[in-house]
Amino acid sequence: MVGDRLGRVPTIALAVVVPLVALVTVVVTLNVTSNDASSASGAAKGATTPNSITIANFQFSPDPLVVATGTEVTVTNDDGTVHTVTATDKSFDTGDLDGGASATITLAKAGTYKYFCNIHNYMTGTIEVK
Amino acid sequence: MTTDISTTTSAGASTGASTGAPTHRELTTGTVVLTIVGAVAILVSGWVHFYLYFRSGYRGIAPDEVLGLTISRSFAVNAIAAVVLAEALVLGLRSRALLLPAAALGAGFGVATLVAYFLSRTRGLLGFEETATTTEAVLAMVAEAVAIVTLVPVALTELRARRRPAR
Repeated sequence: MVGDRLGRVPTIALAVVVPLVALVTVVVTLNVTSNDASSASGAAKGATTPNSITIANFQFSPDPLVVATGTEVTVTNDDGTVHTVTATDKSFDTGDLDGGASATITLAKAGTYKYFCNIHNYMTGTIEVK
Repeated sequence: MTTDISTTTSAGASTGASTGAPTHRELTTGTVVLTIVGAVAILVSGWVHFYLYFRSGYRGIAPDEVLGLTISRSFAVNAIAAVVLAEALVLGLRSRALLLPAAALGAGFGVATLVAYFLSRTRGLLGFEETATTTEAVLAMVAEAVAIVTLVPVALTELRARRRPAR
């Protein structure tokens, strides 16, 4: 029976089961995460180029983004949840971007454009068009 | 059906029995199984929060902060609490005094996590509103429901056992 078998297990063995399972799970999860992080960092490198915005950890990067007039800005969502890039003045809106999805925005007029995520409205950013 | 899972002396006598009824280790197989299933369910919920924290960007959410707690940190706290509670539940099978508080806290963990998720989907929690029902969310909800369903009976059984006069 379950209890009889459990009764024969040394207490120390019983005590290390949960930490051991947790440790293995953490290592496996972080290993997968680091693989993803490698590809994410590739995308993040793209974000440092003058015409792209990356969404990661519920944050826009870079912020502010400075581009020349007429530049096509690529937005990539590296989070696992849906985000949008929506201008405060409604001049642009990517709509819902699933995890891993991308969209482009073209800003034809110079100015400072403030934007936010229409789903998580505490996420904000700025694009300066010169 | 009861199952003695106490450690035994070389003479084969239960250490609990030899020191008196309150520490006598006698758990039903059902209680053992429910406790283990509850511990696994709590670990699954904790893992989902850990996974979301590291894999899905939940590290960076901090629109509001209450006493140092943000949504992001609450995910980390959940994962750590899950490991501690699962450990307490497993050890409660050997040290019975631990089983009632561990089962009660484990069930409370399930209720609190479900309520937190419900709030994040409705009025918002710590300034954060969850918008999508993801696979991870469903998995966590099922795990938390299982934790409640398994650990409430364990806690009640232990409570009744404590109130029962020693024989």
